[in-house]
Amino acid sequence: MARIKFQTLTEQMFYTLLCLRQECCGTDVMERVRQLTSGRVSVGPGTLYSLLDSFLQAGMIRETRVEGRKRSYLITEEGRKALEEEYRRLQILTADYESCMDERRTIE
Amino acid sequence: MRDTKYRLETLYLYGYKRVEEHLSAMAARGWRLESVGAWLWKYRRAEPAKVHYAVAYIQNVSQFNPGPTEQQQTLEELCAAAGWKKVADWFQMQIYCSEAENPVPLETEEALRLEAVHRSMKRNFLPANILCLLFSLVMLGLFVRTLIVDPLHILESNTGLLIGPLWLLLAVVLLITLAHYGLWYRRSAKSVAQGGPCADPGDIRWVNRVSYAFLILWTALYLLTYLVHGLPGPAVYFALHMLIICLMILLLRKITALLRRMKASFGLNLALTLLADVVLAVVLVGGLNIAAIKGGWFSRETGETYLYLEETWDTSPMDLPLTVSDLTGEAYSHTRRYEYDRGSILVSRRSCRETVREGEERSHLNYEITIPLRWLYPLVLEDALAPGESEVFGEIAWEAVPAAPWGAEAAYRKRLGGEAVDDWLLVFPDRLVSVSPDRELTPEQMALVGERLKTA
Repeated sequence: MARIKFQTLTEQMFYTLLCLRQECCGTDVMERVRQLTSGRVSVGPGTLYSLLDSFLQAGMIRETRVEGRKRSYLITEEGRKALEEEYRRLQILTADYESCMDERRTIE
Repeated sequence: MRDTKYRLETLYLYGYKRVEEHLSAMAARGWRLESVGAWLWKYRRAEPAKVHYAVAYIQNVSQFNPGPTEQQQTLEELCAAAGWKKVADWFQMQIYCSEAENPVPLETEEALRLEAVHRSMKRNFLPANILCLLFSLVMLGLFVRTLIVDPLHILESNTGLLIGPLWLLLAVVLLITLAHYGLWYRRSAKSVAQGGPCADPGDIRWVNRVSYAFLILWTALYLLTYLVHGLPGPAVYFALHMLIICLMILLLRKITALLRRMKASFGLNLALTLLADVVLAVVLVGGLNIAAIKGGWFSRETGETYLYLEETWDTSPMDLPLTVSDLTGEAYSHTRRYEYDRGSILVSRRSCRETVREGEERSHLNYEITIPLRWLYPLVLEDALAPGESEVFGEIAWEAVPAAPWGAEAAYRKRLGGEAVDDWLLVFPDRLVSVSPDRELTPEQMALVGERLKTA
C-alpha cells in the first residue's frame, strides 16, 4: 500500500521525510523545509497534518514523543527506503537529462 | 445595536472555497464567525477587516468526543505555528482564520487536500445522504404506487398531498447534491492528476434556497387549508409537532455539548444522547398526541357538556344541516352532536353525527357530504360505489333505487350480505351524500334529507 501510494514523492513529501531524519515536531518540519529550500517550498499546516498522518499509517515515520500538544516524529527504515528510491529516481532523471543535453551539444 | 447575528447558511461541507470566501466577505462587512450550530452560524460584530479564512478536514471528528481529539489538537498546534487561529468546526471541516497579510496557505498540496475532503465526506456526508436518498426513493415509490392503485387515498387527504411532494423534493435535492459532489470529485481528481488544483465546485446554494422556499410555501398551504375550513386543531397540531422536532434537535445538541464539557467518554455521550432522544420523543410527542386526542383537536369545537345516564351530552349543541328533530318533528332533552372534516383541498368530506335521547328512546343520525373538484367527481363516485367484502356481513354492494323521493340525480341503497340496510348514497350534481338513519324513512323525510343536504 505504502509503496503504491508513495511510489513517487512530491516535493513536500520528499522534504518532510528529509527533515525527519532527525527527530522533530511538526512545527519544526514546516520551518526546516522553508530553511532547507530557502523559502522555495513551504508546507501548509493542513497539508503537513495529512502528510504526517499518511506517513504514520504507511509506517514511514514513527511518533517518538508527545509533550502536551507537541508530537515529535522520526523517519523509519521504510521511510528511508522511500526517500532513497526517490533520490535514485531523481538521479536517473538528472542523468537522462544530462546525457540528452550532452548528445545535443556534441551534434552542435 | 446587536453584537451577534445568526445566519442560516446554505453552504456545502465539501465547498471549502465558498466557505472561505463567504467568511472573509462577512469579516470585511464586520461580522466574524464565532461558532457553527445545529442550523445557524453565529457571528459577532467586529471592526471590518481583511481576514483570511481557510479550512482543513479531519476524518475522525465526532460531536460525541470529549473535547478536541488528538488529531484536532495536532492540527491546531501546526496551524498556530503558521499563524492560523481555530475559529470553529463544522462536522469534519476545521475552520481557521488569519489576519496576516500573506499567511502560508493551510493546504499546499492539492492531491492531499482532495484526499482529505473525500475521506471526510465518506465518513458522514456520503453515507447519510445515500441512506436518506434510498429512504426517500422508497417512500416516493410507495406514494406513487398508492397514487396509482388507490388515488383517492392520497387525493382526499391533506397530509397525503403534503407528504408525497416532500419526498419528491427530498429525493431531488439529495440526487442533485450527491451528483454535484460526484462530479466535483471526478473533475478535481482529473485536474489534480494533471498537477492542477481541485476543481471549483460551483454554486448550488440555489438548490437549498429553492427547497427551503418550497418547504415553507407548501407547509403554509397545508396549514391554510385547515384554517380556511375553520379547523385550527390540525394546524396547531402540525405546527406544534414541527416545533417539538426543532426543540428536540436543539435540546439534544445541548445535552451532547454539556456531556462533552463534562468530559463524558464517546460511548457514554452517545448512549445518553440516544436515551434522551427516546425520552424526549415519548414525553413531548406522546404528550402532544394525548393533548390532541383529549382536546378533540381534529373535530369541531363541541363546547360544554354534561353527564346523563353515564353518557356525555352537549349543553349547547352545535348547528348541523340536518338533525333527528328535523326528521321526526320532535324535541329531545339530550343531544350530542359531532362534526368532522377529513377531506383535502381537492375533496371536501364533512361527516356529521347526532345522537338524541328522550327518556328511554334513543336515536341517531349519521351522514357525510363529499364535495370533490369537478374533474375528480367520477373517481369519487366510482370509489363510493365500489363493491367490497366484510368479514362479519359478507358482500357489500350498492343497489340503485329511485332517486325522485330524495330529489337527487341518482340514489343507491347498501346491501350487506344480500340484505338491504338503511345506508343510502345520494348523487347530486356537485356532491355525494351518504346517509345512515336508524330507521326506515318516509318519502317526506327522504325529501327533507335531499333538500337539506344538497345545499349544506
